[in-house]
Amino acid sequence: MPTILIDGNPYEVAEGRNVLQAALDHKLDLPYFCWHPAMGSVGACRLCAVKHYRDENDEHGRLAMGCMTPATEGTRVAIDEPEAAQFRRSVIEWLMINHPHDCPVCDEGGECHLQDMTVMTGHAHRRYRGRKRTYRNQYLGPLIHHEMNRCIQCYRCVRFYVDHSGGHDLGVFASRDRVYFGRVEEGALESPFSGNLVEVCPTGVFTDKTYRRHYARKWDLQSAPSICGHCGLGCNTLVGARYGSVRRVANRYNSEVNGYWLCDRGRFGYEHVNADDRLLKPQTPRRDGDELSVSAGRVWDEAIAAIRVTAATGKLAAVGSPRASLESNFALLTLVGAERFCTGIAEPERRLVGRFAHAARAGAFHVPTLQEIEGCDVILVLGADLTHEAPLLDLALFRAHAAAGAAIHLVGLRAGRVGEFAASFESGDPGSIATRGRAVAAGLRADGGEDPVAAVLAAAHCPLVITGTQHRDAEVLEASLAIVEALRARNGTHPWFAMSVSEANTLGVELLDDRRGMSLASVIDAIEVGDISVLVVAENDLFERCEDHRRLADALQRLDALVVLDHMVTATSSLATHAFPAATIPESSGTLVNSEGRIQRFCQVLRPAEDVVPSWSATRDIIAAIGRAEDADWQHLEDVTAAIEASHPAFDGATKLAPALGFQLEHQPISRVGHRYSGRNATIRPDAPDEPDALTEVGGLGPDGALPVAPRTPGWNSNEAINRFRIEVDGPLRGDNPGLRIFATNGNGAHPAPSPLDPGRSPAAATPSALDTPRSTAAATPSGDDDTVLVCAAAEIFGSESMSRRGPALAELAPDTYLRLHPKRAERLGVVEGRAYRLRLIGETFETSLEAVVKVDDELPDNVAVIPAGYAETRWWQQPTWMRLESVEVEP
Amino acid sequence: MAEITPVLTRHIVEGNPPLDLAGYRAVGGYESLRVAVETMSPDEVREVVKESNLRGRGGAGFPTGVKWGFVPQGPDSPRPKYIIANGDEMEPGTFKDRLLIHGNPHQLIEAMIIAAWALQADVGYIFLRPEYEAGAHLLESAIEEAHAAGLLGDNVLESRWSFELHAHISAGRYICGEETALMNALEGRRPNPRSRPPYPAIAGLWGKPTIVQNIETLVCLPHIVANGAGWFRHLGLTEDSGTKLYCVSGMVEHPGNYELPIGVTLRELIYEHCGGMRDGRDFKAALPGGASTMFMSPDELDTPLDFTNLEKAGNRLGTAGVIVVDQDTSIVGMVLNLMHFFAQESCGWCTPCREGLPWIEDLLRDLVEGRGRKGDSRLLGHEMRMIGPNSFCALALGAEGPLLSALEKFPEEFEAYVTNVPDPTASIEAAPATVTEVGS
Repeated sequence: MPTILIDGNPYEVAEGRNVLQAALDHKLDLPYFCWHPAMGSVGACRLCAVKHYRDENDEHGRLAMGCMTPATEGTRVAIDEPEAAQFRRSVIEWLMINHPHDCPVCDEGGECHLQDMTVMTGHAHRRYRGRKRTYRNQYLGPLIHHEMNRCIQCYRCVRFYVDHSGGHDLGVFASRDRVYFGRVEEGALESPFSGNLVEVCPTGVFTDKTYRRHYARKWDLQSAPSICGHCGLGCNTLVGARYGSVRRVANRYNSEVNGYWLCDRGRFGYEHVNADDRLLKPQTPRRDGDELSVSAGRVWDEAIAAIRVTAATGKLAAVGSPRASLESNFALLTLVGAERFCTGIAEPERRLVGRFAHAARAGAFHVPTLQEIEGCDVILVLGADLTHEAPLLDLALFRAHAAAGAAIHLVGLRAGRVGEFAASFESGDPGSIATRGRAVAAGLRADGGEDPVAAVLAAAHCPLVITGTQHRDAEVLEASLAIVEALRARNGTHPWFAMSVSEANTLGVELLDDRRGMSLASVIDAIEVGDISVLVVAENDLFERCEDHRRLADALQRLDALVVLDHMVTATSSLATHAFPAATIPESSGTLVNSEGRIQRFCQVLRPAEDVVPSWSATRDIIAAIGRAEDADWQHLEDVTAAIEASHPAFDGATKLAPALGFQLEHQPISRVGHRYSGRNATIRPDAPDEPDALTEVGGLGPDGALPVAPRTPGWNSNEAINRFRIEVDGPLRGDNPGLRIFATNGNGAHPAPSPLDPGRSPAAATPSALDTPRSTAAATPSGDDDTVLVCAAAEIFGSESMSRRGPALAELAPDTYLRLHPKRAERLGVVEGRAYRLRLIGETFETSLEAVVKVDDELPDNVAVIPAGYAETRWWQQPTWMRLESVEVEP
Repeated sequence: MAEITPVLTRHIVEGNPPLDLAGYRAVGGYESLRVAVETMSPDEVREVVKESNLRGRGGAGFPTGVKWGFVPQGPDSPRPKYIIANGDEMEPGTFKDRLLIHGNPHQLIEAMIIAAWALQADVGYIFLRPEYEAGAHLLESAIEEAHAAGLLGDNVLESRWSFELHAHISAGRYICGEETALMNALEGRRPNPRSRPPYPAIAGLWGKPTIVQNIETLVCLPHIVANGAGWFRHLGLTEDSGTKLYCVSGMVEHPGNYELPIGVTLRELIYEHCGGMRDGRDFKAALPGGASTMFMSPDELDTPLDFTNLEKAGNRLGTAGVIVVDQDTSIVGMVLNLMHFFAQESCGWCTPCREGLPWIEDLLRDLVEGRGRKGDSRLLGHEMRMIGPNSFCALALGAEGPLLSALEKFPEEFEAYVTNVPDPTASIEAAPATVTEVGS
C-alpha cells in the first residue's frame, strides 16, 4: 500500500486511489462537490484543491485537484495550506455569486452538501454586487421538484441520470454561467431511477416532490433503517417520519444490495402508509352500516370466540402473505399448525419460487448480489421484464453493460428499458421463451456452436442467467435451470443464476412453509366442503391470488368467520367478518428474505395509530386468548425471531441482524441517550414503548452489529456523511451488517461444483387441489377460433404492486389499464389503437370482464394479449391462460 | 525591410478562385506527397518534421515533431489512428486559417495526407467553424478530386496504405478549438474539454491515438518535405523556423494577413508592412497573438514576433493575430470587450471559469459604466490570478493574459474609472468580521 504525505503526516492508502479518496478514507475534511464514490472524478467543481508538491524539496508546490491527483507512493500534498484554503473558499464564493440565499425555504436546508462545504471552507462574505442569474424551472412530473436557480453545476445529475443509469431525457443545455440541467421540454422524467437525483444533487435543485407536501427538516424526522417492501430485491431504505406519518424514504447504503440507489417505486411508494383508505379500526365489514356502533373490544371478543370454537374442531386455517414479515407469517403458522397454514402465494407462482428456493438451498447455483451482477460479462435474461419487476436489477444490468461492456441477451414478451442496451432481443410468448431457453441449453451442451446466444454464454468469463416469475411459467424456469446446469457441466464451476420475485418476503414465506402447508386452491376446496369454517388472513388480498373471483367470494362468504389482519382495505377485508388493522413496514419491525436469499431486518420508524399493531403481535394475542399462551410466549419481536430460528434452520442467525434487545451504550439505554449512536435509538424502545422520548431523532451509525441510520457527523449533515462511516470510501460501512445470505455463496469456483439439478426433486404441496395442476401454455388454441389468445400479464413498475399504487404520486404515473395486441390480432378483433373497450375474457374454467385501452404492438407475438399485472381490474390473472376475447362495447 | 518570401500563400491570389487539382498540380502540388509516400518512410517524414523545428501555429507553439513522437507506432499499436486539422479559428483577431482553407484547399489536403502518412493515420477530419461553410464546400470538392485521383482512399499512390479524409462543420464555440473539446464535439458530445492524461496522442478521438494540428501548421508540411528541414529553419529571422501568417487588425493603415519570415519585430510589422498607424495616430499597445496574449507596450515595439522571444518577454506568440491599439482607445474598455468574449465562451464545465469570468466582466463593466470602486483593480487582479491557472482547461488562462498585462502596464487607466463609491471590503484576502453588505 502506498504511503502519502498529507499536511506532513504519513497515511497509508489503498492502491489506485486519488488524493481526495485518500483524505476521506482517513476522515480528513477535504471539501468536494462533483466527485461521487460511484461516479468517480471529473474535475469540474475545483473544490477539492490541495497544494501538491513535486517532492520533498519542493517548497512552493502548486494547486491541484485532489480528485484528479493519484495517491501514489510518496505523493506529498497539503490540505491545510493558506493558498489551497483560500482557493477553496473562492470556489464557494464564485458559486455563491448565483446561488440564492433561500436556505430557510429550501427543502435541502439542514442536509445540504453545499451548506456543509460552505461552512467547511470558511466562506462568509460575498463581494459580488451584481444581480443573480435566474432560470425558469420545469415541471418534471409528480416525483421531482425542480429549482434551477440553486444549481451549482456539479454535473452530478446528468452523470447519474444519463451516464450511470442510462436515462435519456435529462440533459445539459446552454453554456457559460447559464448552464441548465433539465429536459428538452417540460414533462415527467422517464427514468425509473429519477428519485436518485434528490440524493446526488448536492443542493436543492432536485428535491422530493412528495416530501414537499408534508415537509419536515431532517433533524425533525424520526428515522430508522428499513427495507423496501415494494419488490423482491430488499433494497435498504431510511424512512423518515414525523407526527405519525411517513414523510419520505431515502437510500440506506448497503454495500452488497442497493449501493447508493433506489428505484422510484421504492422511494415514492411509501405514500400508501399515509393513505386515506387505511384500515385503522377493528371492523365488522360484513355487517353493513353499523361498523361504528361496534366497539373494538366487541369485534375482538367475537373474533376470539369464533376462533376458539373452531380451533377445537380443527376447522381453522390461516393464510399468510409474501408481503408480511417472517414473524407475522410464523405467528399465523403457530396459530393453525404447519398443515393448516397457507403462504398466500398462488400456486403458479409458488411452484416457481419453491423450485428456485429448493435448488438454491441445495447449492445448485450461486445467486449473485446486485454488486456481483455488475461484474458479469454475459447476461441472459429469460422471460423477465426487470425494469418493471425488479428495477434495480435493470440498473445492475446497465452498469454491467456501461462500465464493463457486458453483453446482455433478452428473450421475453417485451424488451423494455433493458432492450435499449441489450445486445439482442427475441420476442415470444412464454411457451416459445421456454423453447428458446432449451435450445440455448442444448447449444451449450453441444459446445455452443450453432446457437448464437449459447456461443456467447459458452465463451463468457462470468455468465449469468436471470429469469423472473411474472409469466408464472414453470417451463421458463426449467429452461433457465437447464442452461444453468449446462453451464455447470461445461465449465465445471458454480454457475450464477438469479430470479426476480414479486414481493418483499416471497422467498422467506416459502422457506418458512417448507412445503408442508396448504395451497391456496386447496384452502378454497376445503372451505367449499366444509373442512374450514374459520379463516384468518394476514396482510393478503386473496382476490389478487385467485383467478375465479366468483368462486372465491362464494367460498369466503360461506365461512363462519373470516378474520383479516391488514393495513389496507382490500376486497378480502371487505368480506371479513372481523377486520383488524395491521402495521405497515415503517410502523413495525420484522425480518424479510429478498430474492437473493438475504435475510434483513427492518426497524420500526413511527408509532402507528391506536389499535394498529403488527400482525405477529395481534396473532400472538389471539393465540393467548384461545388459551394457548404457552405456544406463543413472545414479548418482543426478538422472541418470535428466536422461535423461528429454533424451528427453521434456514433462518439461523436471524436474531443477530440487529442489536440485541438489551443493547446498551456506555451503560445507558440507547433510546434515551442524546448521543446519536445506533440504529436502535431511532426505533421505538420495545421495552418501554410508552416513554415520551422513546423515539429520538436521526441516529448515527452503531458499533459492530448495529444497523446504520441516517449518517450525520459534525460538519457533514448531508447524505455525503456516509463516507465518514466507512473504512474506505465506496467500501462497506464500519460494522457493516448487510444482512445474512442463506443460500450457498461464492461463485468463483472455490466451492466444489455441486451435484447436478435433479428435476424430480421439485416438491409438491402437501395438500394439493385439482386447480393446482399446471396449466399448459403450450396447449394449442382451440382450432379455428381466431378470437382465442394467450392472455399474459406484464408487470408495471408503477401500478402492479399492491401497496405503492395506492399513493397519489405513483398512481399518476401508472399507465391506464391496457390490452396490448399484435396489430393483426387487433384488426381481427375489430379493435383500434388508443380506444377504450369493455371486453369479455372467457377461459375454460372461468370468465371475467375488463375495461381497457387497446394498444397495438408489432413486437408482440400474434397469439398473445397482454394486460398489466396486478391492477384492480386485472388482479385475477394468475398465469398465462388461453381465453376468448369479445369486445362488448366501444366507449365513445 | 525583411525579404518577403511567401510560401504558404504563394498560390493564393485575392479575387481568384482557388486552384483546382490540375491547377495545383501544375504549380508542383502533390509532388511533396509523392516524394513522402514513394521515397520516404513514415519515420523519415517524422524525422524531417522534427528537424525543421516546426512549432504549432494554433497558439501553444508546441513542437510538432515532438508531439508526433507520442503516437504509438508499430504493428501492435491501436487502430484506427486519427489526424485532425483544427480549423475552428475562433481566437479574436485571427483569420489566417480562413485564408489558407479558402485560398488553397488542395494544399491543406496534401498536408493532411503527408501528416497521415507520417503518423500512419487511417482517418482524418478537417474541423471547421460554422462560418467557414464556403471553405467546407471547397474542401469537399477538393477531397472528391483527390479521391478520384487516387490521392485519398484505399491504397494511396499505390502505397498499400489507406487514408480517408472528411471535412466537418462544427456547431461553433470557441471551446471547440481546444483539442479535447474538439474531439468531444466530433464524437457528437458536448464540447467540454477532457482531462489529461490520457493525452490525445495516446487516447483521443473515440479513445484512439489522435493528433490535432492547426491548419497553418499542417500546410507547412508539403514545403518542409519539398525543401528540407534546413531550408525551413532558415526561413525564420530568429531561432524559430518558417514563415508566419500575421493577422493584423486594429488601428493600422492596412490591416490584413501578412505572410512574413517568423521573427519580424512589431515595429517592422506595423510601420513597414501595414503602412503604419492609421491616420498617423500614436501606438499605445498591441496584443501579439490573439485575445489570449499579453499587451505589448511602446517600449516593446522592437521585440521580434516569434515564439522564443515573446516567451522570453513573458508573452506568447499565440496565433499571431496582432491587434493594434492606438492612443485614443480605452484599454479598460477593450479588456471588458475581451472578458465579455471569454465569459461568453466558457463552456460551463468548471467553477472558476464559469462563475469567475462573468464576475470579472461585471467588475469591468462597473468601472466602465461609472460604478467602479476603489480596490476594484486589486480585486480584478486577485480573482484573475485565482481563476486562470486553476481552471480545468486553458480558456481562463488565456483570459488572464490581456487582463493582468493591462493591469500591470496601464494601471492608471483602471484607476481613472474609479468613482467615489466607498470600498465596503476592508481586505480582499480575509473576510471582515462583520458582514455589512451581501449584494442583491
